[in-house]
Amino acid sequence: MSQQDTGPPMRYSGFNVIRQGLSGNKGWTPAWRDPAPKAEYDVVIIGGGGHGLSTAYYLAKNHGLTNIAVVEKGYLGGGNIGRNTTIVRANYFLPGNSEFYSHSLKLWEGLEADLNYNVMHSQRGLINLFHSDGQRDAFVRRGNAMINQGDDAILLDREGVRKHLPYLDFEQTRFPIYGGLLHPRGGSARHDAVAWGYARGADQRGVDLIQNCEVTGIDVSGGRVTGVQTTRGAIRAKKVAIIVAGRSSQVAAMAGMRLPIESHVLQAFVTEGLKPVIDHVVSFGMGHFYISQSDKGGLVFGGDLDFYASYAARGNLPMVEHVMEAGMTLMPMIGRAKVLRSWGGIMDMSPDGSPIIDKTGIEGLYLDCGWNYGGFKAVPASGWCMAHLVATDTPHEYAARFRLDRFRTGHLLDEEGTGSQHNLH
Amino acid sequence: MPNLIAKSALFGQAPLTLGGVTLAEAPLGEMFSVAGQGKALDKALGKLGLVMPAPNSCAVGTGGVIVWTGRDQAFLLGDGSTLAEVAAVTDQSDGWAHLTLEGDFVAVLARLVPVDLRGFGVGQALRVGLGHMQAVIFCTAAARADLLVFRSMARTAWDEIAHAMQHLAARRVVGL
Amino acid sequence: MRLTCPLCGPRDRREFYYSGSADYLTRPATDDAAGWDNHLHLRDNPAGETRDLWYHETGCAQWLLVTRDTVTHVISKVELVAK
Repeated sequence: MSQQDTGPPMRYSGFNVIRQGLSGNKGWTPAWRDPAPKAEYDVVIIGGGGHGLSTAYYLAKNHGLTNIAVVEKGYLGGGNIGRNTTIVRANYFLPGNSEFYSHSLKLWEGLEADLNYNVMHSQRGLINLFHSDGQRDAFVRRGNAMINQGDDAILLDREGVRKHLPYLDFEQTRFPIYGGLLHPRGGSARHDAVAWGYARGADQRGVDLIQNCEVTGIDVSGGRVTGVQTTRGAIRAKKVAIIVAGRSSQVAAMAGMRLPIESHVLQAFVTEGLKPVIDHVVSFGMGHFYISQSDKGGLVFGGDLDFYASYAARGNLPMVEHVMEAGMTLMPMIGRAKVLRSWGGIMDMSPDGSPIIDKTGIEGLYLDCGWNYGGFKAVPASGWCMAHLVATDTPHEYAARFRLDRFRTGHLLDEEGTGSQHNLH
Repeated sequence: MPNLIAKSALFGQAPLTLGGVTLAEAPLGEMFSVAGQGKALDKALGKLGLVMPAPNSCAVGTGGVIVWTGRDQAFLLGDGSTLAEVAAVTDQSDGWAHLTLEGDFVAVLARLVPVDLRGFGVGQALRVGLGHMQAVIFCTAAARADLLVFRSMARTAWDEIAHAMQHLAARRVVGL
Repeated sequence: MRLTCPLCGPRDRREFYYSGSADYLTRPATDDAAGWDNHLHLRDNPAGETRDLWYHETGCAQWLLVTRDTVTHVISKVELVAK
C-alpha cells in the first residue's frame, strides 16, 4: 500500500493513525528527506541537535534562507536534546538572560501550532523550594524579576507548598521547607519530539538535513570562512554556524579558535513507569535535585555535574549517591521506585554559566554554545536569535549580551554568582 | 580569672559495646599541629623520643603520640610547646574529638571509610573521609583504632559509627 | 574513579575537589589582559589526555596535578603541585 503524503495537516490525522494501525504501520513514509550533501550552500550549520535544527528552521521561516545544510556526525537529535530532564522555564534573574528565556517560553507556547507537531509541551508549573530566610529573600527577588519581565511567579509559603506537593517530607528538620517559588507557566516537553518537529519543519522548507556526516575541517581563506571538510566530502559555504554543544572546543579548534568552554558530564536518571504521582516540576533548594514525571510515568530527575571535565558520557557513583540522597531527603515516597536508566551528557560549560551566541573573529563563522546544563528550554530562542545573527550579521536584541568576548571585557552574566569557573554553574 | 572546667566533646558519654566492638570517647589532652622540616625540628622531636612521621604512619614516644596528617605536618598528642622555635606549632586541643574503637574495627569502619582497612595495624595512620566528615585514623595498639574528628562533628561521628555497629551486630544475631 | 595520591595512596574520587585546568598554574603578568583571559577563561578542553588540578580535600589537603583521559577516565599520572 502506498501512502500518499497529503501534507503536514493531514499526515498524522486520527484517520491515518487508525488506518496505519490496522495495516501494521507499514505505510508511513520518512518524516524528512535523507539528501546527499550538495557542493555548496549559503549556510552550513554544524550540529543537528536541538539548537542546530531550530536555527535552520528559523533561518528558513523568518529569513527566507533555504539553501542550508545541517551536517550531523551521528543522527538527528542523538545528543543532549534526546537525553535531558526536559524542564522548560523562564525564571532567570539577570538582564540579558531574563528577556531571552522569556522569549523562549513564548515560542514554546506557540511551538506545537507553529511546527504542527505535538511536542507534548506541558505547563504543569515549576516549584523551586526554599529552606531558609535567606533563600526566601533571594526567591522573592527572583520572582519580582520574573514579573518585571512579564512572566509569572507566585511566592508560596509552607502551607501553600503543601497544597501543591503534599508528598514532600514536611517533618524533617535538617532542611525544613519554608516555601517555594511557583512558576505556573514552567513545565516540561517531550525532548525527542522537539528535535523531530524542528527537523521536519526545516526539511519541509527545503533545508538539507545530512546525517552521518562529521565535519573534519573548517576552511578559512583570508580571514573568511569558505566551507567545511566532512567525512562525506568538502562543502563550500558562504556562512558556517558551529552549534555543537559539548564538542564546541574541538570544532572551533578546526578554525584555530580557543573557546571559553570546558566540557563536563551531567548525569540524569529515570525510574520505571509509575501512576501519576508528581504533577509539577520540583526542585530542592538544599541539594542539587530536580524531578518531574514523564507522560510515560517514569520519574525523570537529575542533580549536579560530576564536576570534572569529561567527554565520557557517563558519570561516577558519588554523584549518583548524592542525587539519590537529595531525592530521599525531599520526598521519601520515591524510595521504592526502581531506577531504570541513567546517562551522562556532555555539557558545554562557560565561565559564567550563560551562553554564547556571537560572531567570531573569522568572517562568516558564527558560534552558538555555552548552554551549560540549561540548553533544552533555550532551544526555540537560541535558534531564533542565532538565525537572526547568521542572516543579518547583527545580534538579536534578546541575545545581545551573549557575547564571546564578555569574559575578557568583564561583562559576565553570572546568574548564580559563583565566579569565573567553568564547573561551578 | 574564673577557673574554667574543660569538657571533652562528648562529655558524659558512656562507652558502647555491640557485637564485640567497643566505641568510646578518649580524653584528648593536649594536641598540637606541628608543621615543618629540618635538623632543628628532628633534634627537638628526638628529645621527645619521636621523629617526623612518614606519610600514613604514627609512632609512640616518651613525649606522646605523633600522627602524620599531611605533607611535612603531624599531630602531636602531647605537649608540643617545646617545638615552637623550630616548627609552625598550633595548639589544637580544643578543636578535635578523640574516639576509640576496640575489637574488630575493620568491619565497622568498612561501612564508613572508602579505604580498605584490612591489614591496617600498629604504626599506621590515615587522613580519610568518615561518612561525609574528615577524619584522622591511627593505630597504636593491636585491635584498636583511634579516630580524630573535628569537635563540632563528634556527635555525628559517634552516631554514624554506632549505627554501623548496630547493623553489624544485627547481622551477627541472624547468622550473617 | 580513583586517584592515587602521592602521599595517601589510592583513594576514592569523593575525597577530591576538582578545581579545573592546569592553566591555573601559569599566572600571567599583571598587565597582560590577553594572558588573564587565557588563564581564567579560555581552555583547550581536549577530548583525550588533559592535565588538571585536584585538591585532596578529605585527605592530606595537597593540590595535585593529574594527567588523565577525558574520554576513558583513565588516570595516568598524579603529582604534587608543591615541590
